[in-house]
Parts: sequence; structure tokens; C-alpha cells
Amino acid sequence: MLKIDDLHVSVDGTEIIKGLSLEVKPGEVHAIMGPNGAGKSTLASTLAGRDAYEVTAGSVHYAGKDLLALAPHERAGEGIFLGFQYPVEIPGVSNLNFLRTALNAQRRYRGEPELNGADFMKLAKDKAKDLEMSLDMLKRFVNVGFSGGEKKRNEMVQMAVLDPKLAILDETDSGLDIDALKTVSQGINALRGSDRAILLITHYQRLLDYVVPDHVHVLADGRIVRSGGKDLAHELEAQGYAAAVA
Amino acid sequence: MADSPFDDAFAGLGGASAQRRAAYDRFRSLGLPSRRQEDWKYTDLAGLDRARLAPAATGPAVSAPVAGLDGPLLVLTNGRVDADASRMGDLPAGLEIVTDGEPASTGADNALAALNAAFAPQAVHVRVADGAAIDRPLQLLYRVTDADACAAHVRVRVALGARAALTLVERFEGDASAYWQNQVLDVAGETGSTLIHALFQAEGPRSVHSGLTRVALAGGARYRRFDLQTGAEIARNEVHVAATEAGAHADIRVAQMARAGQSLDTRSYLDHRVADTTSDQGARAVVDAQGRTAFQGKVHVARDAQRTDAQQQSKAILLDETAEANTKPELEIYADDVVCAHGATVGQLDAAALFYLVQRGLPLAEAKALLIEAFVADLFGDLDDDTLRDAFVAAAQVWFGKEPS
Repeated sequence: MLKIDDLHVSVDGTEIIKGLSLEVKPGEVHAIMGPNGAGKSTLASTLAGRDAYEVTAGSVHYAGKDLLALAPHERAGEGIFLGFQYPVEIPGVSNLNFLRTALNAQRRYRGEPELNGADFMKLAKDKAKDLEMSLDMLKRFVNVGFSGGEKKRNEMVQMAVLDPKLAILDETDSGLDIDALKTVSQGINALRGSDRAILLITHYQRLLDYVVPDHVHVLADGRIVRSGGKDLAHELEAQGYAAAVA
Repeated sequence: MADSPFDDAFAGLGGASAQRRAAYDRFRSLGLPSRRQEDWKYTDLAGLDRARLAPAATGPAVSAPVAGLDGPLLVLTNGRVDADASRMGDLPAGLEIVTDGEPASTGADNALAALNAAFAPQAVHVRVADGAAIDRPLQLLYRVTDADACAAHVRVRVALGARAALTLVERFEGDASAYWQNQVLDVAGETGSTLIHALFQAEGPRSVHSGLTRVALAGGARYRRFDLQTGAEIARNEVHVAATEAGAHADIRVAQMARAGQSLDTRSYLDHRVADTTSDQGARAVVDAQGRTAFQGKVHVARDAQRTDAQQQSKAILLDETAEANTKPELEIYADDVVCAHGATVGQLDAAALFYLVQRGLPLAEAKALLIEAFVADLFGDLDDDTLRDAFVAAAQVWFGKEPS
């Protein structure tokens, strides 16, 4: 589903990703762990197509397509969802308006009919209920006045409504208390399926107790330096990154 | 005095009254405002001197009221009341509308107002009786068609009795002819009255628009202006509010959306003459390549006007490096116990918010449009009337060429 081959990425002329290769197959959950500054968020931003992340070498293929040739909104239309580490506040745009506009933009991209207001409302309410978000919150401006945990839950509501094929979750667990962590984990687990894949980017092993990965990779200094099964996460937690990377 | 190109046009009126003659003389002694005057730095009216002088002929009737609003509608086509296009039967109790053919003299040192008094074919008088709260908005639609090289001068006077309330919706529009529309609106609000004033300036693309609003507020009277400027090649608006008794309050909300070749300039003058009056001004500008806006917000607090609270916020978004937004707050404060604050920002669309939207699937152009719509809509957030608020958002969407949703 996703094949990254010898990827090099620079930001403002500084190379951050230095030859990263990774293959993710449908149905799999991969965790990418690593110390601060290893390039975890750079990888997520590059896959989503953010400006200023310059790919200097290597390739990324997604569902058989050259991902790097697609504009960010086309990547979203192809089913890639990025859960933001710091979800953005947008005053003046309600969550409902935002979600409906986004969903219908994706459906147009895929040549599917747009959802009407009533069908969309039902979908949004159902998904929000699963993630314990009230209708009142859906009506509010995107992330404005939301706590850290509410913002992350809102990311999960968006993910559930947009129903992506590949979810890249950038530190979705950071800043969550234990109840919010459980809710968010439920949201991630609900997305698991044989035709989907999830890339979890995280600093801590905590999330992986709730969302059990198939593969764990250690990213350090722009490269994957170790890969293993779910037990690798526990080893890292016990011994620290320095020992694992050495 | 040297000849003025306006002389022929004035002579063309034939047999003008002494009152019009006095107004014209007043204009002649003042002359057209020029960019050498500090107040007119951002607007160049020199072109008016050569063209757009002749009184506009009566044009065809057109009716295009604001969508979804019922209630009385008065249409002025090329400066004259267009009875066929208007909907003036069955006025709500307490609302009176009278048109006369002899505008009152201006008594002010404003050249455009003097010219208006000399040329305006009619004046519209709106009166709301003491204690009457008019529950349907009154719409005034000023439409100019087929008026190359012509001017339409319109003059309106609104008088609100004690504790009276009215929502006045004004819409200016026109075709692609090179015309000039020049309005003077006088508002007198008696004790405890409220005027909600919604204004859509959507003049034709080659037009010049000038508007002068003069408001006098008695004790506890409120004037709330919601103003969206999207039309005209050159637009110059002035809003003068005099708070003459305690408790008077004015809200001024102005959004300007300018694209290539447009120059939109709004100058406010909030005059706090006595103690315990308040004002709140918010301006938003969205400027595309080679467009220009200016918001000059002036607050004057007289020596005895203690406990004045005057707020002013101006924000502009530039969509291109050739866009220009000017913002000039001016505070003249002679009292010592006052709260007067102002803030101004000029920036670009938030890159992080744009990426968030495109990552969720919106094409870049659509993402930009949504953010700009939100930026403008936010300004009209405290307008209670949903239909009017939606009309402002729809008018902003029209600016993008988007079908209103």
C-alpha cells in the first residue's frame, strides 16, 4: 500500500530524513518511535505534502501511484489522512461546515456523488457520538477553545467521517489523560481493517498498549535503525532510545 | 473663480432653486477633494472632473432586493425613486416614507455633500414614530444603469423618534457603465432609539462610489453599522457619528474586499462630545493582487467626555505581494478618564490553517476561499438577524465567483 524507498528530505536546506525505506501493507499497523528530532514529524508532513519539505532523493509509492507527484488535497482524496500533532484552530468555520466541505471535496475528487445535508448530519452525529463528542462541540468553530484532549478527539472524529485508507497519526497520544487516550485508541482501532493501514508516530509506548502494532520501527537521525514486533516498544520503554540505537 | 467643468452640468439643470444655487456655490468654493488633503490621501477623484457630471437619465426599472428579506422596498434607479420597482404598500405602523423634490441644504464643509445638495433630484425622508419598533427591515436599493459619464446623486434622511427601532438595509449596485453614484445619508436618533444599518456596496466595476453618512445620537441611542464593500473601481465612504448625550453608542463594522484596479477607502469619525458614550469599530480588508484598501478610523474625545469607551480593531489579509492595505487609526483625546484602544494587523492567510484544510481534501483555491469567508463572516458575527448575516456571507462568496451556498 505504501512503499518508501531511500527517502531524503530537507527543510530550509538542512537534511532531516537521510535515506528512509519502509513498506506498509494493507491491514497493517506500524509504529514509528524515536527520540525528539529524529525526523518523525518531518516524515508525516512529507507524506501529506506540506510546503517547505523538499524531497531531494528517493521515492514514495502509494496504491501504485507516485505519491510525491500529487498535490496535498489529491493525497487526501486518495485516502491519506494526517492526524496533526497540533490541530489548527480556525475561527469562523464550524466543525460541521469544515467536515462537510472536506468530505464532499474528497468525494468529488473520487467521482462520487456529494452527500446531502441530512445524510451528512447523520454520519457526523454517529461518529461524534462514538468518540464522545457532543453536537454542541460539532457546531463550534474548528478547535477554537478546545482543550488539548478535545482537539485530538476532534481529529479522530474527522478521521472517522473521512474514512481514510491510510492514516498517519502524528503524536496523536501526546497531551492526553488516560480516559482521553482510551477514547482516541478506540477511534484508531475502529479504523483497523484488512484494506487499511495505520502509521502511528509516537514518542512513548503508552499508546501501543491500546493500539497494538504489527511492526515497530525506531527512527533515529533520519533513518530507521531498528525494526521489530510489538515487543520492541516495551524494550525501548525499559532501556531508552540510546541503548536501542547504539 | 475659474470655470469648473461642473458649471455646465449645473446650468443644465435649468432654473435651479436658490437653495440648490447656494449648495452649488458652496461646492465651488470648496472644490473637489484632492489627494493633497491628508484625509483624501488614498482616494483620487480627479477623474470626476472630466467625466461623470451630467445628471443620469431615468433608467429601466430593475428589482433585485436582498435575498430572503421581505418588508418594504424602495428602489432608486439612477437617483430617482422608481415606484414600479418598489414595494411600498402596507407600511408597518409607525414607519413613514416621504419623497420630496427639494433636498435640504447641507450646512457642512463637505464638497461632495454640497454637490449632492445641488444635484440630487429628490430626497427620501424616513421617519419612525416615538416608541415604534419596526419588525421588518426597510430596504433601499440604489441602482444605476446605462449611465456612462453620468452621476446619480441620492439623498436620504432617517429620523428615529424616542425609543424607536429600525433595520435599514441599503444596497448599491449598477451595470458596467462608467458612472458615479454619490450618496448622503443623515441619521438622527432620538433618546433610546436603535438603528441597525446594513450596507452592501456592490456597484458596477467601472463606477465611482462615494457615500457620506452623518449620524447624531441622543441619550442612550444606538447606531449599529454593518458594511460590506465589494464593488466600484473607486469607493470612498465617510461615516461621521456624533454622540451628543450620555449612553449613546455606535458599532461600526466595515469589511472591504478589493481586487485588481479597485481602491476602497473608508474614513470614520467618531465624535464623543459628552461623558459616558461608547463606540466600537471593527474593520476587515481582503485585498487581492493590485487592489487597494484604506481604513482611516478617527476617534475624537472632547474635554468633558469623561468615561468614554472607544475601541477600534483593524485587520487586513493580503492575498498577493502587489496588494495594498492601509490602516490608519487616529485618536484625539482631550479628556483624561477614558478607555480608548486600537489595534491593527496586516498579514497573509494562515499557512498552517491552509495546510490543515488541503490535507482534509479541499483544493487550495477552495481552502483559501473558506478562510477568507470565515475572516469576513467573523466581523458580522454579532449581527442578530440570521437572514442578513447570511446575505453578507453570500455577498462575500460572490466576490470569489462562488455560487452562494
